[in-house]
Amino acid sequence: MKETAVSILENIRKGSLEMEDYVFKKLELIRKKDNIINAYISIDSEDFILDRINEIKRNIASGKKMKIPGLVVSIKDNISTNFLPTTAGSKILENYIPPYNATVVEKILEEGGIIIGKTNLDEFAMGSTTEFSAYGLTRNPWDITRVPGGSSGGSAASLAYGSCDLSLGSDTGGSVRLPASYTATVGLKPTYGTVSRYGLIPYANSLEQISPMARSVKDLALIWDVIKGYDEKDATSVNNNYKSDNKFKICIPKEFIEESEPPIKSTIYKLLEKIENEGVAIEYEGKFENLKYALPTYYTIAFAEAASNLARYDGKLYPISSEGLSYKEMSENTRRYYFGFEVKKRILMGVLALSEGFINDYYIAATKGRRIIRDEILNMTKNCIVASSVSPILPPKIGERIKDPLKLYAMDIYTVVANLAGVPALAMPAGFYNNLPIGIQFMAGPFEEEKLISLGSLVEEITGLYNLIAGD
Amino acid sequence: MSKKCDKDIINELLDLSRLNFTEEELEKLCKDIDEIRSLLNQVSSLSSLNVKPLYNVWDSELNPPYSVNIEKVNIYDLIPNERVAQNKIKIPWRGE
Repeated sequence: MKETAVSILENIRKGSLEMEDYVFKKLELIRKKDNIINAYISIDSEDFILDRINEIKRNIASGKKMKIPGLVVSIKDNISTNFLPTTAGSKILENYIPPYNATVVEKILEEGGIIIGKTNLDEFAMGSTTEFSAYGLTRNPWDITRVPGGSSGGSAASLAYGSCDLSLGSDTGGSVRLPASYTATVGLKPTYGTVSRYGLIPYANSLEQISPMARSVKDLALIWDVIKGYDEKDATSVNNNYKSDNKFKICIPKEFIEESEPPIKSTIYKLLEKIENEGVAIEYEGKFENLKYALPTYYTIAFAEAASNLARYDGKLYPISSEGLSYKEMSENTRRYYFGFEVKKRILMGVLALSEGFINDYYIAATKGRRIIRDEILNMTKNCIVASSVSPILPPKIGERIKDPLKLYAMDIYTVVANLAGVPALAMPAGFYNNLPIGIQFMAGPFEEEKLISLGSLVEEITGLYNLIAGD
Repeated sequence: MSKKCDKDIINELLDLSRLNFTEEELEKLCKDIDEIRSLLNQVSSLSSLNVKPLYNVWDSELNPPYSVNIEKVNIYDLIPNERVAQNKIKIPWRGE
């Protein structure tokens, strides 16, 4: 077991760990390993990092209290930074440097975090494997022939090989939880509105949240504490002081586990038995009637919102542009050559779902489906934390899933529900099968992140599976 | 639209979305669209459901925390009265 972010922070505060040595070792590791893993799209220069370290030291010397001074953070490349390019994994934003920082980035800088680089993702976060990036696929550090999950696969991989202490991803339908499950890391999709989306390059606004990742639940609590909170710059931000109690009961709708591959099922049931032995009540007879509507509902809404959000990339507003005799031609050429196939396909499906003649049968029907799914989850999470598989399958081989869209989308079956309902969900390690990580998901009621963190801390004490680094 | 990839509809969608594909991509696109539509068609049965659409999880029925929606903007407040009166502004359909 390696040191946790919590213990590194203690050592930095005590002065027993030299910040430069620590951060430059991380840079060295990135140089050594990232040409294979490809977790990062861009990395800070040494000079920039040194300036940042000196700034943090000055702040410490002046008595400024900071929550994560000296901890190394990686940030998904769809979160705006004014000091590093923000590409969203797309050629259409190549070399684009936003004029401002996302609110979460400002918060991390304010609290002394060292942002070491921007991590790889499926283009505009549209994918579940991190194979759709215009900057090459990311490999799973636990088995480089397999995917790390997506779309925050770069963030998960950057943690899994030890190049940073904390990370930020974004989760639209499972995009931090699936990678967490596939890389033995931890990811929390927060309640909709609890983390500012200001500066997040949008894919599907009503579903997505910037989401913290770490190698343990206790470490995750550190970055969660930094990024949460109301932001007047985000109209969907929630000003909420809700404190959840730490009493929990777990319930298990069978549909959320039974369709998983056998090693996943058995690992999760074994873990639940251990949790029960620690005195946590578990109800095995739960039922989730509307799971069958979850995937079509989610994808219809996500496509529709994507079509709307990505209309802005017309060759005028952002730097990349193709030539054309008219605005229409220029715009079409730009979008044709600089969007990837998957993105173009999702835009097209979104336009279909919103078109006259189809809107009632697709988009409106999906928003109705969303209501019944949301209401069913809210009823369930009033009484218990819902436990489930994160993914129905083990981390797939590279190329195995992307050829068939339905197989690819099916990977999200257990994760999309939390996004449709806006509730928080935590993914964390449950075990291993043939050296491949298996994750478990816990889903709670709105604003019950603290409850999930308490349960997650208990679970990682039971399993001992925290702060794992691939290859150690 | 037929179950199979309908080129006319595809061309219309391409025009609306300001997109273009190579011939090779178009072939794959047609195959994928047919498959994806088979997934999306599963929600169509919900269109007759007697519930209100849910566009955002913080709708009034959830009893959101007290401060949500404090900053809610009435779009009509931002538009000059004469333009509204003359029906020059069409507010999108999603208002309930």
